[in-house]
Amino acid sequence: MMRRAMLVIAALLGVAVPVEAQNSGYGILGIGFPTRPTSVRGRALGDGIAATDYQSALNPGALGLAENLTVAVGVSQEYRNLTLVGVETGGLQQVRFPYAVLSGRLGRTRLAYSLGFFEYAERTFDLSSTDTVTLRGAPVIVTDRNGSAGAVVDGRGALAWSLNAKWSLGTAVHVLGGSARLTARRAFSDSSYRPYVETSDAAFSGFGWSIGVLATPSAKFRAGLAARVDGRLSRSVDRVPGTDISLPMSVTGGFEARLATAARFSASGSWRSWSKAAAGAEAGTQAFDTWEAGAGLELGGVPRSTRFPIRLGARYATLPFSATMEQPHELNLTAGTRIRFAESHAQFDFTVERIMREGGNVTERVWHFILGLELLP
Amino acid sequence: MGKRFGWLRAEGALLVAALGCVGDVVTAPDACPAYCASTGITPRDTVFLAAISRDSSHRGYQTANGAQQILVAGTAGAREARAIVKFFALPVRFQVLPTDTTTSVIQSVDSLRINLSLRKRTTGTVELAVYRLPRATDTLLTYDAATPFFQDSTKVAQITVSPDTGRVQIVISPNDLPTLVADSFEVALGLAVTTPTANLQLGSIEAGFGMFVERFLQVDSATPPIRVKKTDSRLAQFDTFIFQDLPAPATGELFVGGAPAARALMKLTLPSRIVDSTNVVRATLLLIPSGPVLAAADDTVRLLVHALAADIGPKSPVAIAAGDDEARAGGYVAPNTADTIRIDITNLIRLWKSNTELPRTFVIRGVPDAGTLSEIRFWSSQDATRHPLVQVTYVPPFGFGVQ
Repeated sequence: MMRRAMLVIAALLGVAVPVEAQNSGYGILGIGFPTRPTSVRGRALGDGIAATDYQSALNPGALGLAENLTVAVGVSQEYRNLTLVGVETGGLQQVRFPYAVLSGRLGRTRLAYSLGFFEYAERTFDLSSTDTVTLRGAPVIVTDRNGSAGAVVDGRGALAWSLNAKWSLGTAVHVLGGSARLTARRAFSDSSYRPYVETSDAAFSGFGWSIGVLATPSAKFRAGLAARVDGRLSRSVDRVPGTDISLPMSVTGGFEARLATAARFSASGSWRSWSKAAAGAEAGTQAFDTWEAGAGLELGGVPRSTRFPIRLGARYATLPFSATMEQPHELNLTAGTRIRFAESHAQFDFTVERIMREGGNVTERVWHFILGLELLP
Repeated sequence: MGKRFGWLRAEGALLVAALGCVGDVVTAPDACPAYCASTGITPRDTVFLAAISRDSSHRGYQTANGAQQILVAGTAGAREARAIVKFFALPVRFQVLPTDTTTSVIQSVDSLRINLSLRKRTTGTVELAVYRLPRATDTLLTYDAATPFFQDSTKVAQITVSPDTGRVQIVISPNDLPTLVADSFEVALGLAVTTPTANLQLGSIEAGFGMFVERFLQVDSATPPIRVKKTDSRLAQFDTFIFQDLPAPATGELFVGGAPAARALMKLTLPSRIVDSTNVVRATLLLIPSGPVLAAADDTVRLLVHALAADIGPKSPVAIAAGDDEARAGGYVAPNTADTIRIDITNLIRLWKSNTELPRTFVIRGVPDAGTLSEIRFWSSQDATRHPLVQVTYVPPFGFGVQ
């Protein structure tokens, strides 16, 4: 079983690359659009369980809850309407493969582990603009198209030690990597000028470290607290080093409470020091510290209740990068459920998010559908 | 069993999901400079004053009798041209039946019909006259030597050319060819346009559109004789065109085009940082004419530039893969113009970037070789003030926003 799981994860890591797509308008700036490293269930609950969910990558201490080997992967589809500096574009969409994680416990020991990857930041966009330039004394209309297709990926290896039934401590190492295919094109209205096309590959690398603790004072309540420090993200284009960009330190805390047998409430919050990234970002890009808070309610899905749990959540967050002094923000309204099959050795988690982002001359409205598959062999 | 089956199915689902993810590449509006991922596409335009060197012209790449078309031009242009054609001899006796080699005496020739392939013509009325030439006419006949035969006394036919292109037929009475029998039915003709501003291009043997002559005759087919009408034909033995010689080029002049076809070779020296490290979006060779283009009426010349596979002087082979006849490549030169000649050489320079083994030398030629009477003459790099120039518009490498 273990060997099979490792083979599957190895295959996933080998092929799991961000796909070509049009991501958020906020992904054009800085290192891209930071992605939340939460599971499908976590997203359905508005990230309320972010600090206590062992399948999310925020609190390594939450791995203390892992008892059996599980493999989880997610795939998502987004539909987006974007208004960028007053120009509206609809019908944008993309498919992503945001995470894959394997977790389990080493035999009957107190040591739990997790291996996997999450998307750290999405850097995919395709922009076009038209302008008039003067060449050889005559005006020529030019159409520029700049694009990037790629992302920064967070490969995480975590260990957690259950001190006792109530406390577990965890730590994780994060290896950041990723690449982006960069394209710059210019076409001229005068056919005497040949089109200009240049492509290049950008590569990213960096390291981070996180620690966390999970407290379970009773069967009806648990709380988690975690901190993460990321170093600098090294960037290069065609192996020519560029300016490194400072990555944030983050702190996450939250709790999960069982209100009734079939009702669980969770809430969490995070703070990240993204303002550090301003120095390495493109000129004119503003970088802000961010904070976010989310809460979720899960009904059913336990014995002697509804078979399919109902998950509802809400989340509010500020975003790190902006082209103006106005810090953007987003509001997420979420819902989801779970379907078990194969004698409960596998399950699908399904989440739908309605995301509303504003600020920095950008407005987005997103429908985000996420499907997760979890195997419990 | 159920657990194992479920695990295998899940594994397959994972791998399919991992490999099957695809998405759309769509375009969203941009708002530069704030939301431009990068704004470093900055074309630059530079004129290189001394980029051309080792330039020379050479004549003889294609002679008139080997050209793809036969040119006939009126007197209004700088050069009048006349076509010369000689047909293979028609048989003295006629084989009536294809299965019987017995030949019969030709009792009479009713008429001859000349068939031409008209490839191109000027607009308006075009009068084409046909003259008989001596049987001994060959490809070495010059314009001056042929002039006595292009007179009214030797004219055998005159037509108004009606179609724009296609077959043109000219009927000739045998009475206008008094030496036909004595010449053993070997016919040599000259063609000239009597309309001063007219200009024709006729198909040639080399292009597969050569002229041919048809003979309509009467023979006795049986004993006692029964006179029947028959026809036979013969292709052209050779076809060519003749024209007045131009004055010799002056010192420091280069020449391209005309017939026999002339080409100019040039070496282009541009900074390697431009040719090899930037993206050239447009490059233009500027030639200063030494005088109005010596052309036939309405004869616009197309000039093309080709890279060479090797630089060995006049016999340098053109790189086959570098044949560039793209519509926007090269340049067009109108008759009698004295404006600067602009020849697009963008594809040439882009080829050099992709193939660094090619010499940085090129050839300029009129298209097609010997396909025009026009000869372009321009000043060479030896002229201090009127030498060729090269204007290059290029885009330096893009930074992609990685500071």
